[in-house]
Amino acid sequence: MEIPPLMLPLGVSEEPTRHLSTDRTQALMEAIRTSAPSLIGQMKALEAILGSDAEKVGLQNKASTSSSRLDRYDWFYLVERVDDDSDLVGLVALLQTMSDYARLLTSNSILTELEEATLAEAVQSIVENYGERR
Amino acid sequence: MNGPMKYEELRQAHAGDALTTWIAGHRGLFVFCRELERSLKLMDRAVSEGNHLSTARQFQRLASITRACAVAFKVAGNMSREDYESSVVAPMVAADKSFTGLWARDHSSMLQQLRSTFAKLRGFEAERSAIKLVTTVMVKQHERVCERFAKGRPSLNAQARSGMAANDPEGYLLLRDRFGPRHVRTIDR
Repeated sequence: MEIPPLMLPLGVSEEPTRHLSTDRTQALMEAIRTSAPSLIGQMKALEAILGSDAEKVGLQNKASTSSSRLDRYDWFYLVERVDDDSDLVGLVALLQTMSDYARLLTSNSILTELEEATLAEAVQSIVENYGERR
Repeated sequence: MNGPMKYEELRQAHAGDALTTWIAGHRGLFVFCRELERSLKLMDRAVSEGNHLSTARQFQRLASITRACAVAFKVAGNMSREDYESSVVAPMVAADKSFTGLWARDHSSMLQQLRSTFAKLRGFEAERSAIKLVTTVMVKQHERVCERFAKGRPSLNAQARSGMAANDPEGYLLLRDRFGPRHVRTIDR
């Protein structure tokens, strides 16, 4: 079957750096820690730190596999690319997915301030975990 | 179709607000679920290494990500039952008749890791109780959403165990083309 044009190529594209440098990781954690307590603010901070590296990483659609019938919907959530790869790819996936998420929250008054702060606190924890693994 | 469609074009062509909420909401939810699993693994490691400082940090992070999962369930299910049936289930079933809305391998993996890590936390009774509490809140939030949208249908785990979900390649491709996390590079910013 011919591959539809919308599909992204399997695998991650050019991978010039598997990890952020220690300095950039520290800068990222500091930026997230001191950013506005909102997902939008955090994603802007993350985007600024990643800079052009974010464009060097292409995320993939997950191919359906035979290991589990449930696999076929994993692609839907764009969460598949960060389990076995670098911090950089993980952070790019976080940026792209959570930027969409932040726009969803902004366009709809879904959450209370406390609930949104809960999400922001979790993102801070997630970024700190990336630093932890170094 | 001439070239990749941009996200807004896709949304206008195929997705209403409820479906957009369902898609973006689930993607965010599963980021938190995945990171919860990652945090559990880091806690496993810290406990195994006897690193009390790291273990304490992981307790805090785990608690915050677990609470975020509870919030994310609310976001993903932020629609009426009627909108869910008409705007989410209907277009999905049109593309894939076996669609149920109750699929999530990543979810099962996170729960498995949660059970595994929790079992290793003997001797951390206060922390175990705290994690149990926030996990209960998360699970209850999940149950509330499922009760609203999927009352009487098999749970995620029941489906996973039974393998009752069908696997129709044509439906898979159609769903992916219409709604998939396509074209990350072409999403409007």
